[in-house]
Amino acid sequence: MKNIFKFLLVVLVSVPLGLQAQTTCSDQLKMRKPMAPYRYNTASKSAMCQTGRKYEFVLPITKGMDYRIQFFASTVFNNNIDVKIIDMSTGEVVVNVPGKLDNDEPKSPQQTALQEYMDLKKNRFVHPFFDFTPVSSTSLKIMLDVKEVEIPKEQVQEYTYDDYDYEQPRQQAQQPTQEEGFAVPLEKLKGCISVYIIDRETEEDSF
Amino acid sequence: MKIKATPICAIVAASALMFQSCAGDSNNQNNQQQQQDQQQTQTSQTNENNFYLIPSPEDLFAFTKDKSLQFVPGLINPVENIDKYIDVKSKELNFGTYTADMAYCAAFEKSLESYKEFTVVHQLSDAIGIGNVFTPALENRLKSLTDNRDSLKQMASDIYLNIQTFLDSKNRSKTMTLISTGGWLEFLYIVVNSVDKFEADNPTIQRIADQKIIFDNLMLRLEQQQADPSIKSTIADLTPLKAAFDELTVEKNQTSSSTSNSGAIKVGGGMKIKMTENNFNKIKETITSVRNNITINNVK
Repeated sequence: MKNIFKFLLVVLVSVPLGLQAQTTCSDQLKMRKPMAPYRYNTASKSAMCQTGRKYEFVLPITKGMDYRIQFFASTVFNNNIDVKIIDMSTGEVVVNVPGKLDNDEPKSPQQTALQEYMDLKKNRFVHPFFDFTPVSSTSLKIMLDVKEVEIPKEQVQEYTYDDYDYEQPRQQAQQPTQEEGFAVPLEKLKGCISVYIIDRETEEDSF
Repeated sequence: MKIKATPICAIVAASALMFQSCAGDSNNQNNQQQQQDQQQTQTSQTNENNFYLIPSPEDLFAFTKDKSLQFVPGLINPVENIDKYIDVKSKELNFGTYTADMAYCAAFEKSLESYKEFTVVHQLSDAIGIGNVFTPALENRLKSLTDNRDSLKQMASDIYLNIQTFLDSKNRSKTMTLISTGGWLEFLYIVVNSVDKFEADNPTIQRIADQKIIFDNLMLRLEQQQADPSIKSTIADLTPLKAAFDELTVEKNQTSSSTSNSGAIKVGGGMKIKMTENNFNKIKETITSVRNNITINNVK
């Protein structure tokens, strides 16, 4: 009887472990459903990223479509991700925002890349988004600068149970040994960053 | 009560492995392919933090909604060709071509043809170890579809996302790149061969010229993974097409971005890709040759 109990315990523990091993960053894209008239754009990408590194996503965009780009990141990054978007036809930086504001709440959709802002008309928090209308087909270069993260020690435990964090961040988050209350730099944390793209046919709009 | 840790740990590990392998592929060929891909991913260190995004065939064919093109069934890769795909490279590239054919049928609201293409894609998916993506629920959903463009497109888009997710979970980026390559080549082949004659002001002609942007992205992605022999030989297969696209002229404009009333940023004003009749004919001839070599598996 004891053996059966042990076996069941083992199976109950191992099932989630086995299933979690199958989870990927791409699964995060599946969770999001665009609101009509927008449709999911299959060039969307979710990738495992690491603090202290820079990433580039090159996205071809076509005349005749409007594109909306949003960024989502694992909470392990604490929204510390600077975002730049370059119009490759001109080389011009058309978006240059931090992931979050240090001491204030964002007031508009384009003020930060990751921190939600309060939409007073809709009376709810809205995730930032960036809309693009290509007058000719071009590419957008999306540059993400994932900053090193410092987390107060008392919050470390919370981060270790982040749904989006996988094996490595969990192991590394247990390493800090500084005194309680001090900010603990967690180097080389890993998590998913999604470049979520939706599109719709271009509407006539006055520029 | 004393509990011996070693056997329990062994059972935990074995169970975890069991669940992993259940969710994965079952045959040895697929596992070997997976290992090969994983090794490839590890060895490819060049610009590993750069991602060159390629639209799926569903997104590429979206423009046909304006009915500017006619559906030409003869342009689709014949189902019988499937027997010619013996090596992994040809299977993966042509999985892409059939996926594009499915998207083409869906874009023109041909549910019966879409279902036929789905069957071929499903058949080939088993051969490249991604059969798990095609669940019975997905098959039933497709059977119940009507000739509705949006639901067909949504279906094709969902399949593509499932494939992406599955390959991502298996670290098979090389496979995804070859599928994307095959899909894009088939799209270009179909569109170019749907245009009877060159007219400079035809929006479809400009759309073909604009494919240079996607092609450049595709080549960068292939070059990123060229340590893999299949990718390297695919780059060689595409060399004539690269030469044809390189002949297009890019007209630069002094324009800066602006923002619309709705807050959308207007981009792309800085350049326009120009295509002459000679360019068009060369691209048509080259893409037809490159695509046909891939679909009849006449490549190295």
